[in-house]
Amino acid sequence: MIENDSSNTALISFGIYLLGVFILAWLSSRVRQKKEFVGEYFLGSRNLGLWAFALTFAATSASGGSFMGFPSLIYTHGWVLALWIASYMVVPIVGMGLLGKRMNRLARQSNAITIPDLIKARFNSDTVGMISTLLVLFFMFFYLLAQFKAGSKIMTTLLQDVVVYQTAITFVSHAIDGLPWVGGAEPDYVLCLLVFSVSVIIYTAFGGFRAVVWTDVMQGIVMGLGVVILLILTLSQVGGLKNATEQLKEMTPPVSGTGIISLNKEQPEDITLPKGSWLRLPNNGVARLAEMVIIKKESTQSEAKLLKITTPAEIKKIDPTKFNFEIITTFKANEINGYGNGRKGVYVSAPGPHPENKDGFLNIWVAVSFFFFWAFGTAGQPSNMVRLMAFNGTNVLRKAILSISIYFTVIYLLLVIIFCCGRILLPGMEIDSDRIMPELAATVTSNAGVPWLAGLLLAAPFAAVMSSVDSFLLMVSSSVVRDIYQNRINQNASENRLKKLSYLVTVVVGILAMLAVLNPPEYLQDLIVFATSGLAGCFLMPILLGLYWPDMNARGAIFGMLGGLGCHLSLYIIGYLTYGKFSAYQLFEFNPFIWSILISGLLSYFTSMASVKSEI
Amino acid sequence: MANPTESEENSLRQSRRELRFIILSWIGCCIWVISYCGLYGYNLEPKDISTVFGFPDWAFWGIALPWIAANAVTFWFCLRVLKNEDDEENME
Repeated sequence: MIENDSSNTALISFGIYLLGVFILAWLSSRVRQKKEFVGEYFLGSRNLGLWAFALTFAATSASGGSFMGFPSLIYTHGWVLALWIASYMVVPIVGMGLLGKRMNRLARQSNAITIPDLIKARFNSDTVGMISTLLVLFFMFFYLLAQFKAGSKIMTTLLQDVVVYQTAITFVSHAIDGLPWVGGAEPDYVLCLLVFSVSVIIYTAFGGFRAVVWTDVMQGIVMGLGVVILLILTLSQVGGLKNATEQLKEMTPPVSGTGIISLNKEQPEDITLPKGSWLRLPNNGVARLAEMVIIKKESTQSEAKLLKITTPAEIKKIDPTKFNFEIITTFKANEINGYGNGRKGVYVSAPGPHPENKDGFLNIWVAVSFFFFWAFGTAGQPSNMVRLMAFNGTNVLRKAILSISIYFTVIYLLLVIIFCCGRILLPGMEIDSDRIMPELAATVTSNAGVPWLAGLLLAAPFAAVMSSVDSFLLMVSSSVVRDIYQNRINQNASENRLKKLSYLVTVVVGILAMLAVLNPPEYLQDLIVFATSGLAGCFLMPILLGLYWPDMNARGAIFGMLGGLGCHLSLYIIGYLTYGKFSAYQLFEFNPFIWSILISGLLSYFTSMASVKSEI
Repeated sequence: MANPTESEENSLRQSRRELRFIILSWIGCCIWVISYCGLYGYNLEPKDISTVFGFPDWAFWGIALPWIAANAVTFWFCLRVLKNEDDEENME
């Protein structure tokens, strides 16, 4: 019942939210009519005020992962996620302060509109500009693919119980059956991808940078409000944070395994046990079904994946699901070599439980890596850098850093509190931990007698993923229109031609990305990490040195960017050969980003120094 | 008014001061968080964990408090360290 209420609310909230987005895109296109096209379309005429700049930076940084993946990790591993995300305490000052003022100054002086534009102007070299364009296109396209898929997955998760949506899936299923490329995809995924992609492509292509920024502002407000309301409702329902932490101390991680579900007699028809059903085990144990089970009418038993709850206080609270027939369930735990099994206190201490890793979720060296990665990785993202080129004066930067420091504290610290408490309200969510955000929103609003409020809370993940996708889409199209066409092919292109080309490229890039993920390749989540760390590894050090060190030159920038790229790709190739999957090799347990930054910085510095000496 | 070269030099000098402040802030926070959590947050038994304002004690002293301190440092940076450019209004 709760699921249906929340999913219908999700559909309504998604509709209202989309309407708001389109209105903002229309308004921004009206503003654009009075201004020079390329500068306005790709950089909002460089006059972002405080709230626009602050919230577009925050919303672009917080992707879908912040509201789906991160809550899922908090739920599964507990308080250690506060340490994992702790570097966000310095993300505003590092991410915006490190490059902001110098970059904005150089962009205004050189009239640069894109990051390759800026790099080309600083080093006075077409080659550096071209290499940076190719790197942006290469990594950004991967990022775009991953975010399109993430957006669609979030929609499928949130809308899965809506009746209209189920009918539409049936229709799509018939429509794509037998088609090449698309035919193998899940129909619900295809439907959500189409709705999500078409919405984002239309408002981004139609509205340009200003629409992206204005929708980011709306999305940032939705995210902030959603988190605060969820915190108040959750804390009031667990009896306060102290009470929740005391309960978490006594919890032990559930155990995955397989079981045999037996009926005492054959039934006249097939029996379906839904995923998520609670089953009683011998000796008063309790387990949750991790998959849907069908027992055929001529059979009396079936094997199933189960999750056994191990905390006595939780077992007492759970009422097994009632069926119209009797069943007996046995359970056999999987062989596990992880950390935390049967151990109390793991949810309120580091390294946090992990079902497979014997060192737990976060050993101290990985924690150091993340403290470096979040702060400097944010600074090194071209999608964030381009926003630093658009603010209007140091006063705006100053107030934006202040606002964002409070915003990130609210969002990230509160999310940890909320979803640690979520473990107490909703046991056994490990079977589908990505659904913890919508489930918790539905549960706490329903318990509080305000189910309609779930709509606002459920709009937050939509907002998070959309605000990232639109920025990346515009980055890719600006690279094609400005860096390739206007700077290299036709420098005298008329405003009208650039306008048509910008619309066309934004739409075409969006459609290509959508087509590429219609049948999504494996490892897309890993591609996000690959693209993020790759971009920062290639760009951060050459740009940082270029802004603060006058002797840094084009040769240093080329070696720095290619050195960062080479190190990044090498670690991925070694990782693939070592682990047999698409994953980076963690040299001395450090994130590959740290090595790329190091190599890129050293090459930038020494090559520039060598060039300076040879000129002398 | 400063000439363009002089104003660029002033801007660079001031920006480098700000850069040093930012890097030192990051190092300070990193040392506080990692050393405190590394020493007091790992492999604890329930009896070893007390709470401060509902937070596990290691998370309060090792993460929440430095987070507040980092916000204070950020405020200080914005109000005292980050300076406007001399030629800001003439840059475009």
